Amino acid sequence: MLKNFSFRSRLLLSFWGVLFLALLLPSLYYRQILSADIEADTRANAIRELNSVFWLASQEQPFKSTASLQEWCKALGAQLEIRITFVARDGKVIADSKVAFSRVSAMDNHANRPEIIQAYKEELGTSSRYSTTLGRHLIYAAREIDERGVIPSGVIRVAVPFSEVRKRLDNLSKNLIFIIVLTFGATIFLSYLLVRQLEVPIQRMIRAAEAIESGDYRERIRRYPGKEFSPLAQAINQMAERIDDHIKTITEQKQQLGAILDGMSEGVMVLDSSGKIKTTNKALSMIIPDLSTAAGRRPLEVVRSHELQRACDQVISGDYESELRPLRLEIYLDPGRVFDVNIVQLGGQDEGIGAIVVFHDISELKRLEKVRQDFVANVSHELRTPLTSIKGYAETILTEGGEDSDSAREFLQIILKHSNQMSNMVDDLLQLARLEAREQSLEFKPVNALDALNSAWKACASLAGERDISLENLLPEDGVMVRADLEQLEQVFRNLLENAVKYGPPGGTVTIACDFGPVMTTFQVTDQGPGIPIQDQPRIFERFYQVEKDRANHSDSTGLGLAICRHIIQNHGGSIWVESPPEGKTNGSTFFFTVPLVKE
Amino acid sequence: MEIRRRFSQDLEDLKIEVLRMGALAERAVDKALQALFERNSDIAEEVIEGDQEIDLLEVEIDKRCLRLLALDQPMARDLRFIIGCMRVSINLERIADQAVNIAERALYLNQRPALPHQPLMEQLATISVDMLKRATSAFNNGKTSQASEVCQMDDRADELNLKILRHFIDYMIGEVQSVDRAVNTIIISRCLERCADLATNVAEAVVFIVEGVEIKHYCKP
Repeated sequence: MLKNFSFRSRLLLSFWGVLFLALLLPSLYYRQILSADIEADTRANAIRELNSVFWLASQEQPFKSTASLQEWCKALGAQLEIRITFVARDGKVIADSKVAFSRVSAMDNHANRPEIIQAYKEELGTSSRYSTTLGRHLIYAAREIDERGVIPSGVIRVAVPFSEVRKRLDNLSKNLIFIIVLTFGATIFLSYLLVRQLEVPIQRMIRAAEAIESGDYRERIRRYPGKEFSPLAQAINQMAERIDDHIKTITEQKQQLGAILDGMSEGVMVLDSSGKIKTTNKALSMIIPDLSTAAGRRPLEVVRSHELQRACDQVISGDYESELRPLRLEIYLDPGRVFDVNIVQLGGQDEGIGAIVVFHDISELKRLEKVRQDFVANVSHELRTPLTSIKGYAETILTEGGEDSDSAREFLQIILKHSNQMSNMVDDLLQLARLEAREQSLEFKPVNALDALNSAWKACASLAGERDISLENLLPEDGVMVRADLEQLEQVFRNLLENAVKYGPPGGTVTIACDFGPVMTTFQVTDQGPGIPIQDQPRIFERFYQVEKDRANHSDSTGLGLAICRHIIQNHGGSIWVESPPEGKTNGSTFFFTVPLVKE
Repeated sequence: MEIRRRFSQDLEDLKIEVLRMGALAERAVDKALQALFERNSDIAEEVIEGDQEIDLLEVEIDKRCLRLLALDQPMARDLRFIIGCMRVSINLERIADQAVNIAERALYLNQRPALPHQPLMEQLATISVDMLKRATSAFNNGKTSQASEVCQMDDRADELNLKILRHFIDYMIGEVQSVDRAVNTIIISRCLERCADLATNVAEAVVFIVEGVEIKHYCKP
């Protein structure tokens, strides 16, 4: 039952219980002894009185009548404040100091009174009893008496009032109770204070422990209520220290892990056992925009790839044993973005199996691979076409033996044309190789871009004339001074103009314009051709890259012009790009390139 | 409580299935366009073969929805979500069918010489794919703002479709021998425009799920 009370109540209650017992038992014992003592004393007193009455009665002249005996009894009784009774052997009362003489004869037979019976047996008898005659508690003492005069042989008895004794005893008890209550009250108050005193350090200890519990691991218990509490306090302190250490270690590890994860160039996604995303790293947020709400969602809700979702489901459901090797797949997100994804099973102890998904961006790798493949395919294709012609015509001349000199001459001219084309291509390839090898930081002299443009246009003039295409020159009249190699700049203009003339509709115009920036000037070459498909635009500056469907129409181009332009411009520290269709138009394309301006 | 948890798990699974279908449909349209623009017949074949998976998925989603409706008697948003998923999956299936149509036309066109490059087709393709992506993304995030963007983009798709039609009619008058190719291209343009319409339907279903408002044919909540 005590278990339900607080420590303080239990302490107080046990204190009070002990106090109560300690005060009550001795008082009861003391009271008992005292009352026995007092009774024995009164009894002895009564016997003494009895003896003196006996002695007085034997010294007195023999009484003449029972009346005079009654008188004597009364006088003596009044004197001694006791009751004196003479009882005959047959139990008849002869005289009694407290009863009127006339009524003595009517009194009860006293033969059965215990003190009288005892007196006959042992010469002296005592008893304490309530007297019906007097209506009081009395102590009786009786002794045998021989016959003398009117006094028959019988018993003389005195009764001393016991109530006097009782009154004293009652007084004593009252005092005792008062003292007990007083002591009890005082000690209750004292014990309460004492317990409070004990409680304060315990409370302090509790507060310290609570502070540790709520995360303040630097808190220590320094003062404790007693030696018994010292192991407890030390245990709590050590526990706090250990927790502090553990938390430091965990935090450190977490920070390290976070730094590693965020420092990785691969995107990482951690899945829990139900296949929902637990955490992601910084690199993944570069791959997948809007990743802030990813936690708690499924991969498909974040990455738009059903293959990834299926693979994750496989690993998490345990269908795929990824312990031996991770599940690998390639996923295509937006056009041109390819990721190599590895999924590893993560064996958790309690939470079941999760998974780690690692995204490796291989878009650039894939692109370069494609460029290389295309280059090899294109260069062989480009060289084979003229070679086939040369071979065919050469064989024809050989079989015909040069009989028809006119047709032989014509064939030889075709062979020469194709050889020239091949030689041009090889020249272009060599030039490209040289451009690629050259460092970018070459010192260029100031040249006038208008000169370069004019000589470039002159080179294309015959072709332009054939197709009736005119040049619209929007450059300033006194030209644009740029820091460049004149010959190379001319080649850039020539290549771009050639393309514009070749692809533009007959009777159209080619527009040249420029735009001055703080450091660079941007030249624009705009044609009215069919434009370049969006998916081809990033690749037209690659070697041999030709927009597929136009390849058949213009077999005389080497497919290296734009690649050479790009390299020249890059060597000048500029950049080249295309817009197709140009802003605000539905067809045609504009090539832009930048060249450093001459600072005045 | 157990039943409730199972129910919400089922709803989550349903969403994943619909998203899976969305990803497949997007992939189908992307690939069909790739087959067309890059003149790659292998990819076109892949699209035609892949359509079966989307059809099966639609049946599966239908079953799931019916079971949820019958067994759990959903209320309010849950009910709208299930109905909305049915609508979205029907439209996604039709989009995938349009992708198959485009792939079939591409197979034909790839055997013939190419027509002159037409930037309008690319613009229409870009806008249709973009609308589809936005619509599935709106379904994924429950964003009605994104859904109404899709609705507004539909006008642009219609306009482009008309422009392409006019362009090819003019072209056919001049070049009789390329009539068949031009007609096929017009069909593709029409398919793309249908894709855009169906993406709009998906977006409308999203608004229905999130806000409980029917915006069919108005494009405004």
